[in-house]
Amino acid sequence: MTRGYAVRMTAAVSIIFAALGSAGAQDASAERLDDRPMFASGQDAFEKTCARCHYDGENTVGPDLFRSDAEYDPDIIIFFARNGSGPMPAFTESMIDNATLEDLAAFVVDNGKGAPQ
Amino acid sequence: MSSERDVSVVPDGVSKADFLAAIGQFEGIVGADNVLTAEDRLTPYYKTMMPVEDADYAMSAVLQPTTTEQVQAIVRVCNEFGVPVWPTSTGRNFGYGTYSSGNAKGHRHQVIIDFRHMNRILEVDAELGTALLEPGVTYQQLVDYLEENDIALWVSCPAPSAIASPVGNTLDRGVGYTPYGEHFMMQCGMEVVLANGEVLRTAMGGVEGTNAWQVFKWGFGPYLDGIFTQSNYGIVTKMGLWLMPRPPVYKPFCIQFPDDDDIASIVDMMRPLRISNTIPNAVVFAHALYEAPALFPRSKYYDGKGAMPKELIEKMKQEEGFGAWNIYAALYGTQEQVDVNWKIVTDAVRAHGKGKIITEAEAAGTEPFEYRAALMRGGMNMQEFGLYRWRGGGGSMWFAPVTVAKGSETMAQTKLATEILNKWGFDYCGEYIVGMRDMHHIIDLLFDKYDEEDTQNAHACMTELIDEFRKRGYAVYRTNNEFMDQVADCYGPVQRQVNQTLKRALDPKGIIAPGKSGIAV
Repeated sequence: MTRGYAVRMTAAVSIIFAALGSAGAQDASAERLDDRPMFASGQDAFEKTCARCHYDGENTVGPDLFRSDAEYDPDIIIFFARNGSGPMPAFTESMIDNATLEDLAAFVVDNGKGAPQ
Repeated sequence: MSSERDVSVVPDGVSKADFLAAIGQFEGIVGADNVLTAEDRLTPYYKTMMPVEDADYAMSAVLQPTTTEQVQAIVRVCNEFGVPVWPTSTGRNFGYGTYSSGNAKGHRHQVIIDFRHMNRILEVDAELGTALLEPGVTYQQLVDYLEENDIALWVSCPAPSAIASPVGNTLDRGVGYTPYGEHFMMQCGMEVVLANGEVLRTAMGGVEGTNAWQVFKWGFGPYLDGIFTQSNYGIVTKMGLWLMPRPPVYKPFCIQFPDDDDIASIVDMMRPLRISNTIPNAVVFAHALYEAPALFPRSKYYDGKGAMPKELIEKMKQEEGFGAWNIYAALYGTQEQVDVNWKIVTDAVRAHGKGKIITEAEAAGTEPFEYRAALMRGGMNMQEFGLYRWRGGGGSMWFAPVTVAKGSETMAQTKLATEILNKWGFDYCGEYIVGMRDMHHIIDLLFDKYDEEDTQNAHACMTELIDEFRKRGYAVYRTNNEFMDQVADCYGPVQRQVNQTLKRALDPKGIIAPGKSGIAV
């Protein structure tokens, strides 16, 4: 995934910040990242955030979502991610955005049961 | 205009009418959708790992501002209605309090400020190796940015890295594992919203037209950045960080030592290598009981009550190939520099006589070497989440006393901690993270939060650890919300008094995170 974040200063924004404090020089027209997925894909988010606990056979912390016999509904995956359960922390939208989480849930549902080994 | 929302709790000392009036104004500032009060939207923020009733730490609302100006407006409303706010960056302070909103002594149910919408990477200067970030930026987003823009700089991240915030971790004076691992040392320049709504830019940030805000830490006159870390004197809305140039050669390695008592000679062997910057990074000395949770649950070797018996720890070490102490360090630089330093390191290990060196090639992709090697170059991974499965039940508190980098000190601290933890039925899951002349002795007090007795024991154990260490002149560098008062006491009445004086001067109504680090009006 390509993300071309803008980074450099613009005069217009400098003026705004000159009114706030004084420095201003480094303030840029950088965009907020809200509208961008926080991870490259649901799979990427799973690998970086969930896999340690939910993908490793006998060494998983919670249920192994890829070897369990259970069939998962995406809404259930999203619910547990957002709210936690037992030792599982809750993951807010500050950590995983909604779009990525939905993609992550779809990834688990599509690939979870019985595969990949 | 007062809000008509149905709220389940209100901050201590604030009437429901005033709280709803404040909520109404917050809605006008950040928009109704960025004022969370409904149970289903608060629940993700609600969970703690501390041995407490989570209900005591429930927040009354969450605000999600977008700009510094909105934060200024929020604190003005807070002053008007006496509503306390507890700012978080992304809030992933696992084991150090998570989203708790102050301790339960009259400061319950604060409003959380979640900076998820203030997530701009304002500038990265590839030549100077500096960055200016908002608090909602995660380590993952910063790394993605560097990679996508082909900028040859590394971040230094803590273990639960991808979802944590560089600004938040630095403000809590957290550490990472690269040569830039002492994160606050690599911070330069802040923008802070003060309790009166004014915006302070620290150091060179006060000079109109400056381009040195992210390169010169001190400015002129008193150095102020430090008072905004681990404190409640203002709300940091921007922070400058230094980033490490990616070295041409990176050589991670492990040295294993077989016996618990080796820790003393290990520290004395490694200290000169660290102080001379032969080994430049934040080295880790991980005990076998810190290595194991990254790989498997305790039940693989012991499923009984209480601490894991010593003979089973020995059995585990033998079967899993762990040392009693497992040193992770790395060399950085040109091939010539790395070659010279590698000889110095290996000569020192040979002279010691007991260490077994494991190179990256010899580790051959196995854990825990792989995740340690990743962390020492700022790589994202969640391998250490295995700690939460070691005992089960989701309870975790970091007991993190500072120690002097001398072998005799580490021997004394390790024995004392093990004794107290074992007495209460807990394992010594500990490691040392090496600074220049100090070490952070990091112990994860893991307990089953769903077992009432275990939870009570964990609370009592933490209390005793803090007290007994204090008697011997040791204190922790950081703690979770439940123990902030007790830890603040360790640093003496004069420090507490000065902290309170600053609080009264900068935030006379005590609206920013009252109780944080034991500081209140």
